[in-house]
Amino acid sequence: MNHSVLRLNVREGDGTRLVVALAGAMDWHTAPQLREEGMRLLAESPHLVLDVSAVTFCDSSGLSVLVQLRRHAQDTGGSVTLTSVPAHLVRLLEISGLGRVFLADGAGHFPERGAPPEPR
Amino acid sequence: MLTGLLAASHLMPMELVPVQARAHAEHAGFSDLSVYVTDVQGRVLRLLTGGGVGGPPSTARAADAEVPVEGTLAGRSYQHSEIVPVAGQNGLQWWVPMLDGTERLGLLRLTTPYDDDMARQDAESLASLLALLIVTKRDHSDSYARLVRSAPMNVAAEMQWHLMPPRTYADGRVVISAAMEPAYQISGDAFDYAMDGPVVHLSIFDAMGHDTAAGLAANLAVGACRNSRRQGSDLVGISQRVEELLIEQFSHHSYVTGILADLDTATGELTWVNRGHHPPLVIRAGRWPSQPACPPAHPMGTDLGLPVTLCREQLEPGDRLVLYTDGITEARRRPGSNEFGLERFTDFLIRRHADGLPVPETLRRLIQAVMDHHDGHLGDDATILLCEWLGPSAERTREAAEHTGLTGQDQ
Repeated sequence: MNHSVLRLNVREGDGTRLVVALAGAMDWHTAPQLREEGMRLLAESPHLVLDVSAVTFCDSSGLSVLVQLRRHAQDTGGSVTLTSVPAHLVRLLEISGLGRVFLADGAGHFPERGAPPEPR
Repeated sequence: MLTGLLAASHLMPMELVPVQARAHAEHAGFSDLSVYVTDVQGRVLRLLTGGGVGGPPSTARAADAEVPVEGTLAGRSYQHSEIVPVAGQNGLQWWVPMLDGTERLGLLRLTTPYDDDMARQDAESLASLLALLIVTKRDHSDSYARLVRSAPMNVAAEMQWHLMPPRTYADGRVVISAAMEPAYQISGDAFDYAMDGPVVHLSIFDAMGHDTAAGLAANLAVGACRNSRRQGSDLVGISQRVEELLIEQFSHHSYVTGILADLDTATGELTWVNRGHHPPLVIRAGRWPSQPACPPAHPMGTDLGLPVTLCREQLEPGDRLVLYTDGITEARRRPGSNEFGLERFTDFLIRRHADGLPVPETLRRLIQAVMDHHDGHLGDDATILLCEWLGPSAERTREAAEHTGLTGQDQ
């Protein structure tokens, strides 16, 4: 089985805010790496903006690290936000109730999916 | 035959069940009785020898010790829960399904002197009693546990299979069936259901991670859910109690997503809360899948403080509620490969339902199809819990019997 890969590239930083681009999969294999590097970056700068446009896959372990990083940042007066969120990740965040926490538009929307109910 | 076996059963270890059953069956004219039990995944039927695997040798030929479910007469009897005749050396033989309630434990094989309804009823009664007998003894029998396993089990799977209710239940009001894979390497999935007067509680949980800690978190979630609802909490309160206990034990390092639902079988009203989980699927009278809108709250254990919403949906008799974990729809062979998908999953359920296949067998085949799609290796737990609402009366069991493949049932 192929192991997934996640790359982190610091794109810009001004001392309090770092923009970091993630590329690859946020899953069980890469979660420890994301947690470790995220904690290290938060030590450098309290506000972390994660550009997740090149994240190809995310599972519960990936989401869990996001929640943990956000909690860690908030404990020290910082923040973790996402930017350029691809559709598949928006869907996942909305399914898991985390959309209201991580997505900029806040509220999230929950359209009824699938075919309409049969008329009775 | 049955009263003698029943009287003897109180002081009978699992190891003596096959021998005693054979002796008592002979009073009713059935000879050469063998008891077969299915393995955890429902793929093979194994002879209950009295010693488990590696136990004392039985008189049966080695070829009889294990029978595959696919492509055999025994398998047909198991899949459709019906008596299947075979030509034996000493006359007519039958494979007789052995069910506890609607849970398929395995089969009996016996030689019968008569081929009539009376003999069939006797064989079914014998199978029913033996099923009940085995169920009361299997939970504290290591030889039985060893016999029904085809691979080593991890500790999480050991805990979960002991925790969860039987994979099939039915009465006149509901048919419930569940399936879970990988059966021997579970991590954080679990399901639960229970009857409380007219209300059927259904829940499914998916704990983050793929390790023993995920298994512990899932166990804690099910335990907390049961404890809380038995103290009279509502669904919102139950989910909050699960969250509290998870935080207490795992201090934000683990979380569990889940759906907690109550179906009022008197009215068809479904209420549920969604804690960061895939939305439930409702299949209307065999067609028209929909995912009723319901804002999810944060996963239990993340402590994000989002409001927990109680959602409602009115079901009609024949509607089916499907709860599932992402291993079913989203598991991938490797990064970039195709997932099984919600559409294919829904389509499978609808087609097999239209074919009239019993629900437990549909789920057994579905989970097999999901496994095959992933070359037999699931990266994540895959669980389905399906509940069909038949109507308000627990006594009208004809439909429940049809949907579970139960035969010889008094209506």
